[in-house]
Amino acid sequence: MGFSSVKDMVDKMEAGQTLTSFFRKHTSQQSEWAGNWYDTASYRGMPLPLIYYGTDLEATLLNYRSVGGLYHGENVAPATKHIYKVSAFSSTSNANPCHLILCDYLMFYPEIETNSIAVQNFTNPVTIPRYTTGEGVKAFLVYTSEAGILPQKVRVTYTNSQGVTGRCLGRMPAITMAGSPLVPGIPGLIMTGGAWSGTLQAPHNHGVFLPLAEGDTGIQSVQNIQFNTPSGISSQAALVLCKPLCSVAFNNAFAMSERNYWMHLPSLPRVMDGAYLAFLRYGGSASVGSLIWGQLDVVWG
Amino acid sequence: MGFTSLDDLMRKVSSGNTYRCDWQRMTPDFGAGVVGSWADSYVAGGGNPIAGHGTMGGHGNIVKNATLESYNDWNPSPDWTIYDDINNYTALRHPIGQTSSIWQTIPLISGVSYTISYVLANTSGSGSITLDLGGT
Repeated sequence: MGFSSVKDMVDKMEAGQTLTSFFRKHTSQQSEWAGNWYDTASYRGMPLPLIYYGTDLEATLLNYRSVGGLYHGENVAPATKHIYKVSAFSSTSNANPCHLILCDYLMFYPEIETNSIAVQNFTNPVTIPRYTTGEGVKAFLVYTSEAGILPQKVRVTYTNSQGVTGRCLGRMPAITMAGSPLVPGIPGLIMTGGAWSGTLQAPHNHGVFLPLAEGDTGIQSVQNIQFNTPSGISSQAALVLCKPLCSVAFNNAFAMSERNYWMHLPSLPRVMDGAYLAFLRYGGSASVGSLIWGQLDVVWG
Repeated sequence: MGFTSLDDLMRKVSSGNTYRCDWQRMTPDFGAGVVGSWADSYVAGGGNPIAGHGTMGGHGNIVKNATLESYNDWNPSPDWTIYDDINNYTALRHPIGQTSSIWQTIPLISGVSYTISYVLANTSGSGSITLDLGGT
């Protein structure tokens, strides 16, 4: 559906077809490294943490109705729901600067053993519940236990958004933490292949989302994963498929940063019915137990 | 086409006519950038999307399935040894002086020029290398 005009959206808002939802998250009690990405779904706070529970290596769906995530209201079909504004700030200085990407988490593959170099085959009894073609769907790897202590490279084979099987990462990204020397990490750490502040930079470092093979623009499902060397300790990770929706960043404690997705950046990202919403966080400084607050405003019509 | 009005823009974006692309680039790790200079982030730095390979060129000269840098995808004859060096490049070693081959199946794109780079190291005696491009 959407909106036929600016007045139409304003009319819908005045008619009550809008919702404001609040969130509050704690960064880890262990020191996080500047320059790494973290999964706030794993953080304590509100909404409750996501522990990526499921059958080993089996595709597991994420849906607000069954799992939780940031509340965004009831299902609205045949209307469509859109993000009108995202706001965030920290009440502690060591959480700044910070960049957040709001994503719709679609599906994950749990209990990947990072200390193994064997091919770990995934099973796919279900398919992604939203963005079903896979167009625009990204993947990230997140530790669900204490992170490994040794640099690794990884190979992932997937089916792209055209339905072509056997696609694989453009190259094997290094899985290392920023900072030197390497130290055991924490749950919620996303494997990014290093970051700007690290000494382990290399041309293959890829950032929060795993790169895709040349020409691919999304992922439908993932078939297997393999590490080239053990991670040094037994650690578990989950491979998560998600759809990035919008971003917000903040720089100073108690200074709320707001992004209006009509007035500032006219794009009105859509939130699908049943979406599991959570933020990916890029930390610009070492933080311990920092608080991140914010709100999400949606409108539907 | 463009947009006829603000209302038209509202209508288009709320019906899904938008696209988001997340990217990450890194400045080169092999030397400091020069103040006042421009740099080509595609070739120089790593990140997502994948940079052009430093020794293989860039700007589209990436094999479409992009698996040349994974040692798992090569199909060697028995006298080859394949290993992955610290730079994440596929490295190939032929321990004995006989004719042998190593190959992989990759889809090539019509009209695109490809570059093959190789390095000979720790060699003895003499020989030659032949590069073949073929297929069905």
